Amino acid sequence: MRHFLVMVVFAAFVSVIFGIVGREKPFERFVYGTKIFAEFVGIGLALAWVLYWLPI
Amino acid sequence: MEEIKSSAEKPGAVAWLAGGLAWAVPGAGHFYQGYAARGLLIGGTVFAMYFVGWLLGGHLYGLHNAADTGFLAYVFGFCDLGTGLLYLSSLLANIAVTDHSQLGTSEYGDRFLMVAGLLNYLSMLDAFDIAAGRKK
Repeated sequence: MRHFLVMVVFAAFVSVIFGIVGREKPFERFVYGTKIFAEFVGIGLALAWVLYWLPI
Repeated sequence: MEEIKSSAEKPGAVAWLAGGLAWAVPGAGHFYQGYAARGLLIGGTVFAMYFVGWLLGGHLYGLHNAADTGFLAYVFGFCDLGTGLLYLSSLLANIAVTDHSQLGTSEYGDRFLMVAGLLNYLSMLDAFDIAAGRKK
């Protein structure tokens, strides 16, 4: 659970800066930042699920 | 409407000053140009990420631990250096320089410290571009 929490905190920090730097209008920044956050968490969970089934 | 200059135009001294300020103190480059909210958000995020990295047991890389880490200390040190005076003052004050590898989260902490620096490099370039008139 701690690992997941750390990943969520990391994604939140990164998406704030990406949102500010990546778009020029306030609403676009919010949408872009939210999208980046969702992608970080979603892809992280998907990779964790794939790795769970790998026999390593 | 404010005109956006072409990238071929040479940036002035103000752009270099804004970029330098943004590197030295996270968020200061935007604050200096009148974008207070943006500067506070960037500065707050970079400082918070740095602080969380330190709390997780992360440590800074650079010349001081190049002998133990090897060439990667320079690469990681360059990432850490992105936080500007925060990095330099931490090294001087011996904060976040000890490796806490016994902690399960120390590697996460290292990454947080590095990415805080990389994100500040990104915001430094953003401040530079705004001051050069390339973006708003």
